Amino acid sequence: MEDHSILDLFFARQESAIAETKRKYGGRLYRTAMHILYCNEDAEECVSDALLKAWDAIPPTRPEKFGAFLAKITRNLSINRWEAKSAEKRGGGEMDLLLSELEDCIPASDGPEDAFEATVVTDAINVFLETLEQSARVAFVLRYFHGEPIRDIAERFQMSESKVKSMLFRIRKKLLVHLEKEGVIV
Amino acid sequence: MNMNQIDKAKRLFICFGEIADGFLEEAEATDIATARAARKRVVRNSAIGAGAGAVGVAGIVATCLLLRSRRGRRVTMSVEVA
Repeated sequence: MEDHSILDLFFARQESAIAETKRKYGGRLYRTAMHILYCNEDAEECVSDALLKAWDAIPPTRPEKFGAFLAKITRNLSINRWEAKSAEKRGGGEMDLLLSELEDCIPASDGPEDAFEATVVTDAINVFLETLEQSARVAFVLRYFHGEPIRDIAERFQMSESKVKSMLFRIRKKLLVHLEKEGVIV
Repeated sequence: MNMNQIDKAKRLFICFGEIADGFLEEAEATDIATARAARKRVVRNSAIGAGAGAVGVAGIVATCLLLRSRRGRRVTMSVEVA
């Protein structure tokens, strides 16, 4: 079903909106949650919570890009749950690896901690992503938004894992240069 | 990695969550396209394999038919694998 038809169901407060959304996007949302949480039950709960949030938000919101809207909700819920759980223990998955990789992108800074502004950082990231070739950008988004494992990205692009790792490493280094040039504080 | 670095990496990871919707849609579309291409490769490779097998069998049959003995002629039947 097309997104506009699903959104029409939301606006009509038809409960089939949830079923249709789950049918179309459930798999992708579950994978994103699973990459972060590495727990089937937690991932399923996050997807369910994301669908509930969408139900509460629509209407009045009518997202232009429904898939992206859902992906962001799911990702945020998953991160919140991961943070809550990681205080107790680390449960595997990609998060520890992802965070260690992103260490490459943290600009050195003598600025005050409270100078961090998320919107400034995100704007800088978006400008940076525009400069990348499409395949590099897609691989970067798959890795650092969706948390896709390297092997899955390699399989998808028919590349070796080492080639994907090298590509992502080079992009992280370029991102670091960009963030430092923009004076961004993380 | 000390705790401060972990917090910064986490912040950066969270910031990735607000990248432009267009980039997410692009990744989604590429995801679908590459999966479709991968399925096509599997189907094509299977067809090539099946086709090669069919050509091989057809070649054997054709060679046998060519070498079939005619009335009054003595020929030696041989089979060539195409």
